[in-house]
Amino acid sequence: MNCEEARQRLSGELRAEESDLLAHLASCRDCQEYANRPSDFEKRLHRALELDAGVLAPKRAPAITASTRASPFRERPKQGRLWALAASFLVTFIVGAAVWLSRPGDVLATELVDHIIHEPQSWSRTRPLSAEELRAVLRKSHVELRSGPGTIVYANSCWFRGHYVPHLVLTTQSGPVTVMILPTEHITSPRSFTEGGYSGLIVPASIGSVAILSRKPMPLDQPAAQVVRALRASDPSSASHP
Amino acid sequence: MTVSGRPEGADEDLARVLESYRPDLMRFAFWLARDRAVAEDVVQEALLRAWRSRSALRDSTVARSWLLTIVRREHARLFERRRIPTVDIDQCLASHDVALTVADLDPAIVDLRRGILALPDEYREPLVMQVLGGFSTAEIAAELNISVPGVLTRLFRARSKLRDLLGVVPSHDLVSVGDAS
Repeated sequence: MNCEEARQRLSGELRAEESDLLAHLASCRDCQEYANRPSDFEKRLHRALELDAGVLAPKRAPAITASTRASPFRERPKQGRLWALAASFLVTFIVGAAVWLSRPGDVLATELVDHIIHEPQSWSRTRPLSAEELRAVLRKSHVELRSGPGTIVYANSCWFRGHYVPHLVLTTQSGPVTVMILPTEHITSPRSFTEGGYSGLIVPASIGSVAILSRKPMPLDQPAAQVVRALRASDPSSASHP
Repeated sequence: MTVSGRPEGADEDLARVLESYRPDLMRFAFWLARDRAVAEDVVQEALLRAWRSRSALRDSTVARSWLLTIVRREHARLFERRRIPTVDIDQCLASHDVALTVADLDPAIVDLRRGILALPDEYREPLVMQVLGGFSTAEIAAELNISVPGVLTRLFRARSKLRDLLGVVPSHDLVSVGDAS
């Protein structure tokens, strides 16, 4: 055995059967020194490798579960999984935002407000309409209003979402409200909204839905209920003979 | 009884034993991976794997070496599976995380730790297995699928490089030995 082989062996662990190495050490002073000297180095090497467990401790140590049926060692989310998770959150956010922005109710509310803004004169009317004037407007949309919804001071048949719909203004104790009768807009439950300074409520009706808007916050459910109760489809024969 | 057929108390005891080795496994995994986050992944996966195959552990006194072997294999598997790029040692040593991990009151220990991190994988891995893991050269050879003399050569070179780094090589030492192939 030469010194090179001896020192390679010394880097491993000495075993009793390594008699050739022991024999070499017995006859080689350099290797004896080499074999004896590393003790300090080995101590430092051990110490260097023994990192502080506190620093290395995982941020979230898994708890040992009481039930041994489940593994006490949970799988950690991997970096790739985290990216996938982040991507899925992003996609969910985008889809959610798209759904939110395209919610029919909100779009409808915006369109309703856009519409009534263009008829500002309707709010200032005070003269009650005659039954005939009202009937003429309603007939165009094939609907009628029985008595009860209050005093109607404005009525116009407006082109809205591809249809002629009745645009009315009622006077209530709290002030005027605009009523849009929407025979082709179907909703399942009442929806209130605030849009462009207007307060609104859209409620389902026997014929589509009814939207009530006011220029100030006020209770809208009562006038809405009155309109819904009064609303009905008109007689087809009368519609064909205006 | 649990699903594995062990008494329930035995499973809980084993879970505690395995958990008690986590610091050792973290150290071992860190020196292999040179990255704390990867080491955490490796250790957690290894513990999970060990738990699933706990019926293979007949003697809890060999649990530590059994776990360290699983950690090493899991680390190798992770690198093979993820095709993790080679660690840039300069970036690795400059990272705050590594700086925190290798910190010590003794600057020589910090240098030595940085030296170990800078060792090539083929030298660092057997060194860590031997010194930290307590594996014999024969076990390292079997695990790394190389010969025992090959392991001895790598261990020798690893130590030579670290001694050079610390300046502990005496003038009469055979420096050429470390450079021999």
